[in-house]
Amino acid sequence: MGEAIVITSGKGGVGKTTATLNIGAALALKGAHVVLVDTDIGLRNLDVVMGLEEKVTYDLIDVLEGKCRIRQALVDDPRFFGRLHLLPAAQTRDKREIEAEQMRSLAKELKGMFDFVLIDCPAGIETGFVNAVAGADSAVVVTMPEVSSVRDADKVISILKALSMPKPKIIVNRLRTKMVRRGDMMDENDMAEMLACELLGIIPDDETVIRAGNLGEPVVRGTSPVSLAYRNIAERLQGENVPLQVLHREKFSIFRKLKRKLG
Amino acid sequence: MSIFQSNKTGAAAKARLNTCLREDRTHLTNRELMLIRLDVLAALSEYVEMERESMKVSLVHGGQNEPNSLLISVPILVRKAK
Repeated sequence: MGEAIVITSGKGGVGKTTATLNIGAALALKGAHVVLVDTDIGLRNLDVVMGLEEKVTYDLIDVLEGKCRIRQALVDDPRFFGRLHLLPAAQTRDKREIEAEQMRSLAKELKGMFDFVLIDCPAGIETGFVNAVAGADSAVVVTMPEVSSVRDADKVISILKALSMPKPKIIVNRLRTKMVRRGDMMDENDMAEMLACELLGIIPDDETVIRAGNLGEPVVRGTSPVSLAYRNIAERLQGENVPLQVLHREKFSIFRKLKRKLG
Repeated sequence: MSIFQSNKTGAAAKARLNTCLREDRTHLTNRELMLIRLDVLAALSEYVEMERESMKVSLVHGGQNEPNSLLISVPILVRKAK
């Protein structure tokens, strides 16, 4: 039986969908069978981020309404040799058309077919969020080093707690190492401490992600720090003990030493 | 002031976030917090001399099944003579 993990954040635009794709792709590279479920009904994006938008025939609501079987709606990502699939969201329907109980049954069925079911949650904490969380065994909260983003993450964490979910782990996305080094950005430890959650990973801010998004490709096959960060997250999800990357250790500099002496 | 000195905004973000989280988690507004601060100072001043300006109020996040705690710290100088 597989594991269903919801990728959530509260705030929009923090990189949930990109994280869902890249974690899924990294798990698939490690040999796991993975399905990514887009639950953002009406705002379908995961297919576009994956570069599979032209392959979508059926969607999540078609499956829940019994218009097709799950296997018919699944889109296979050919770059991962049958190990990475997408269950797309409906683009022209309303998120209120599905219920939490339906999502629970769907997740249960998918867990019987795959090692990992990664559920890409819509932004916000309303119906879409409740449905996405309903079928999950655990949650990963994606946040960014900004006050509003961490505040929303904290709200989501408190709701997950109220729903009796296990304590989520957090991913700090788009960390700018130079800004952290010069004291102009909160670091990952500040955020983990304030949210009182364990860090699952730190993703540095990198143009690679934007370029890959333009091409509809995951970044996990590359050699950039972002690629490594996602591969490390996948390994941690598989229970391996992988230390967190040190992204912003202060470099030795005579100028910096002088600056400290004078200032 | 040093020619190298700049405003570090990361610390400001952390402080603002702390205020937001405290309000969200406890539903305590800044006004209520100020009243608590004054009440605590009034109660303690019956017994001790304190560094009133150094009083700090912070929120400590509880664990999975633990409540959040409001932590109030104030440096005590000396016990007041009765």
